[in-house]
Amino acid sequence: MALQDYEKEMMYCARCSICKWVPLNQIKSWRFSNICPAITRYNLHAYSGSGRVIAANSLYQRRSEITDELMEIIYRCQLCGACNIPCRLVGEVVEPLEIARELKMKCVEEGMILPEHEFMIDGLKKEDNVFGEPKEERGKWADGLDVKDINKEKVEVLFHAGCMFSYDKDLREIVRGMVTLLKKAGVDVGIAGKEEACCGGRAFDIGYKGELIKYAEDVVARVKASGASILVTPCADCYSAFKQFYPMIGQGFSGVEILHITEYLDRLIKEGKIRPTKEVSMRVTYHDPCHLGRLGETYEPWKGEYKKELGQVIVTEPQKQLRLGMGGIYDPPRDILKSIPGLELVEMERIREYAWCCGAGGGVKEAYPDFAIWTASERIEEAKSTGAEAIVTACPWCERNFRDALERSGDKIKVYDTVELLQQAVQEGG
Amino acid sequence: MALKRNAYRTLERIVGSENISEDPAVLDGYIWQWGAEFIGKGNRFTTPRPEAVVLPGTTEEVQGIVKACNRHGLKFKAHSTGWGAWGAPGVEGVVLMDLRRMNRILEINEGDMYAVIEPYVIWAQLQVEVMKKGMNCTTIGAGSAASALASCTAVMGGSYNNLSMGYNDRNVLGVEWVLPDGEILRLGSLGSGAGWICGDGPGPSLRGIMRGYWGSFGGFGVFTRCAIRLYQWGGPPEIPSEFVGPRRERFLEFPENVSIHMLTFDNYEKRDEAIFKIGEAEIGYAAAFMGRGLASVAAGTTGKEAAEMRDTVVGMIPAISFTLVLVANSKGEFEYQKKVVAKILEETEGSDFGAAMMMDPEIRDGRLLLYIKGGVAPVRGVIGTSGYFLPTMCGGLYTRRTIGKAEPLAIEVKQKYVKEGTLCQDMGEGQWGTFHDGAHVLYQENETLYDPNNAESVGAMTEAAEETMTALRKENITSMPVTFDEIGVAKSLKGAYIHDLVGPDMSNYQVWMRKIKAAFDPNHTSDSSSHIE
Repeated sequence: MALQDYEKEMMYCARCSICKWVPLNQIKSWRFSNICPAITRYNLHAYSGSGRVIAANSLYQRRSEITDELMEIIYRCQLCGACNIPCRLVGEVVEPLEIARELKMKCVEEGMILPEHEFMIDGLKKEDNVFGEPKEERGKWADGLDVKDINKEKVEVLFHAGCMFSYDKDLREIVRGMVTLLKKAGVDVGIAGKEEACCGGRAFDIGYKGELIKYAEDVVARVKASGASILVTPCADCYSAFKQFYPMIGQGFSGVEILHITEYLDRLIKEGKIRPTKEVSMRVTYHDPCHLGRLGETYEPWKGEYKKELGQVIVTEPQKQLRLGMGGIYDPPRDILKSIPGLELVEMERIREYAWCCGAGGGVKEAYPDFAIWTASERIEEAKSTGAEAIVTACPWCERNFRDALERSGDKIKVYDTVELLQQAVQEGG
Repeated sequence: MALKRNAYRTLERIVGSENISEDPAVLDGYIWQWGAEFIGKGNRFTTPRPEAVVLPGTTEEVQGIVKACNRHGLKFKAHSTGWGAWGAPGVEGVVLMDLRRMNRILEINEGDMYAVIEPYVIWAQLQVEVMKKGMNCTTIGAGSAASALASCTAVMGGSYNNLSMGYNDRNVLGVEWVLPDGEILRLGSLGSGAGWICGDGPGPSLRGIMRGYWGSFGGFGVFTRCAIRLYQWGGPPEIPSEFVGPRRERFLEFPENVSIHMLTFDNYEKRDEAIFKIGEAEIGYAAAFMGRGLASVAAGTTGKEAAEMRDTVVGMIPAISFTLVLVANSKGEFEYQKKVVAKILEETEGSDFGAAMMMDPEIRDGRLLLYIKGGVAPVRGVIGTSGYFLPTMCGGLYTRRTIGKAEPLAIEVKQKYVKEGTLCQDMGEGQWGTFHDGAHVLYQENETLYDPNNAESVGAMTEAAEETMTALRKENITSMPVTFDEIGVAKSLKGAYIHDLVGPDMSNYQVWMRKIKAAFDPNHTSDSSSHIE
C-alpha cells in the first residue's frame, strides 16, 4: 500500500474533529475528554487523525512536501489507534490510523529517518531486537526456570516473551512469574530462548514494513516448527502484531490459537487450574493497553470496492470491517483482577476501546521521550482521580513508560502488571 | 505570498514557536473544509491557504495578534472547532487563529445559572460538567463536538433541546470580544463590571451588532470568552451508557421520568397546531422534525445496512410527525406532561405512534441519547452515509403559517434529483428541525445527502438548493431566512452573497451590516468573506 492506495480514504475526511474526542456520549468530564495524545499535547490540527489524513492528501496531490516540521508531526504519533474509534462512528471510509502509518512509511522511503529510529532498526538488523542488546542474552530472563526449549523439543504452548520482557531487568520477575504460573497449572510450555526474535511490530510502527515482513516470516516459521497449538505472549505489542499486522501483510498462524497471557491465565482460573486465594488488599485501576485493546482485535484485510446504492449512499462491497476495537481484549485482565480476593477494581473514565494511550508506542518513547512521559503522566493523573493505589496494566511497554513517568514526577501511585497481582494471590502450590 | 519575516517574528513572540506554523501541509489542514467543494469544483483544497496559523492561549495573545495584523497590513480570521468552509480564509493574506488552546470552562455559577467558557469548549464537555450540578445547557444539531461559544456568538443552527431552553443565540450572556482593531469590548453586564449574568446590561447591549443577521462566521473580530445560560435539569447527574458502536448505544440504567414519543398526524396543519399547543403548555424537554427519508438513510451502522434497511424503516415511520422527549422532575410532573400530550393529541387528532416500539431499548436508547446529548449521531447520519450533506431548505426560522407551506415545497423540488440518483434517494423527505421560543418559532432544514467527491452530485446539490430557494421566494416565503444555506455561505467567501440576496426582502438589513462592519473594522483587518465586506 502507498498513499495513492488511500485516495478515497483521504478524500472523505469531513474535518469534523470527532477524532480528537472520546466518543462523545462517553465523555464523563472536561478533564479527561480528549482521546488523542498528539493533538492534545501539540494542538495544531495536523497532529490529529484528521490533520494527518489531510496532510497525506496534500502530499499525494503534490501541494506540499515533507518538511522537517511535517516530519516531526508525522513521527510524533504513537499510532495508538484512538482516532480510529470515534472516526468509525462517523463513517466507514476514512482510515486515519492506516494513513498515519503510511505517512511514516513515506518518510522512511524518502530517507527522512530519525536517528533514534535508525538505532532501533540497526539493533534489529544486528541483534534481532529494537534495543540493540546482544541476541545471545535474549533468553537469560528464563535462567533457572526449567522451561522447555522449543528448539530441542515439541511443546503444546509456545511462550513468546517479546523484546521488552526479554531485556528489561526491572520487569524480569514478572515474566518469570508468568511462566511459573503456567507450569504450576500444568501447561506444557516452552520458549525459544536466544533464538526468539522480535515480532517486527515496533519496526512497522516507525514505518519499516520490510522489517515486519522479515520478522513475521521468522516468527511464523518458528511457531510452526515448535508444533505448538497455542501461542501465548505477555507483550501487548507482539499480540497486536500477530493479530493485526501479520494479516495486513498476508501472514498468519494457521491452526494456532493466539492468546495474550491474560486471556490464557483467565481461562486457567476459570477452569480451576489456577486458584487465587490469598488476599491482596488494594484498590487498583486497570489501564487498557492500546495494542491489547482496540489494536488487539483480529484484522480483516479488505480489498473490495466502494459502490453506491440509493443514489449516493456509499457501501463497501464486500462489507469492510468497521474496526471499532470491540474485538480487543478487555475482560480477561479485568476478570483476573476481580478473581483476586481483597482487590478492588475501579475504572478510569477512558477505558476499553477509547482508553488513553500510555505514550510508549510508535517510536515516540525512543525519539520523543518527553512526549511519551507527558502522555503517561496524563494517564497517571486519570488513575489517581479514581482514588486507586495502583495502576495495573498488561503490557511491558506501558509498564516501563509508567514507571519512567513516576520516577520523574515522584508520584506515589504504584504500577503493576496484572499477572504480578495474580502471583501475589496464588498461594504456594495453588 | 509568504509572510514577511518581521511579521512572522512578531507573531512568534506572541504565541511561542510551538504555536505557529507556515508549513504548507499543516496549513492545508485548515482549508480542507466542508462546502469548499462548491467553489472548488470537487476539490476541497480551494480556498486560499492562510499565511500562517497561530494558536493563541489567552485573550491578551488574541489582542496582540489582531494588533500585529493591523500594523503589518495582514488580515486575520479565527475559528474554534473549525468545521466548514467559513472557518478558512476567504482571501489571500490571512493569519488564521486556531483557538484550540483556549479550551477552559472558567466558571460554573450555580446560583446565577451560567457558565463562562473559552472558544474551544465543546458542548459535550460543558453539558457533562453542568449536569453534575443539576443543570443543563443547549447543544447543537451538528453534534456535541461543536464549540459552544461559536454556536452562541457567531454561527447559526438549532438544537433538539431548544424547545425547553430557547435558540442558541438567546442563551449567550456576557461576552468578551476582541474587535477587529484590537480593542476589547465587553458586552452586557460584563461591560459595566457587573459580571457575566446578563447579555443586555447594565452595559452595552450589542448582541444584534455582534451576530448581524445570523452570525459573523469568524468575520468580525474574535469572541474570546462568553457566558452561557444554564437551565434546571430534571434528569440524573450522569447518563452512563454502554459503548456498543455507532447508533447502538444502550443506557446502563434508564433514567426515571424520561420518555420519547413520535407524534404523528394526518396533515401538516394538525401537526403544527400540536407543536404550538405543546409550546403553550410549556411541557417537553426536546423536540425535532425528522423526515422519514432522512431517518431511514441515516439509520444504518454502515452504508450497506442503511441501504438494506431503507424500505423497512420508511414503511414503519409515518410521513408527518415530530419527536418529543419528556424529562420531568418528579413522577407527578411526568404523569402531568404525559396527560397534556394525550390531550393535545386528542385535540389535533394525532397519535402517539408506536409508543411501545419507541420504548424498546433497541430504538429508544440511541434516539434518546441523540435528543439529550447530541453526540456523534447527527454527524454519522448525515456525513457517514454519502460523504456529506447540505440542506436545500436550510435553517429557516418559520412561523406556524409558513412552515406548512415551505416544507412540502422543499420536498417536491428535490424529487427530480432524488429520482435521477444524483442525490441520495430520501424521497425528498430530509426534514430536520427544532422548535424554540415556546414553539412559536420553528427551525427547519431539508437535509440532502450528496457525494462531495462526485462532480455530478455536487452540481445537483447546488441546483437543488438554489431551485428550492427560488421556489420558496416565489411563494412569498421570503420574510424569513430561507436562504440560510451553506452553499450561500460558501459562495459568500467571494462576497456577501446571501445578505445581498435576501436583504432587500428584509428591510435592507445588509446596508446596516456594512456600515457596522466599516465602523468596527476601519482597516478591513478581520477577514469578513463569510460575513459582509
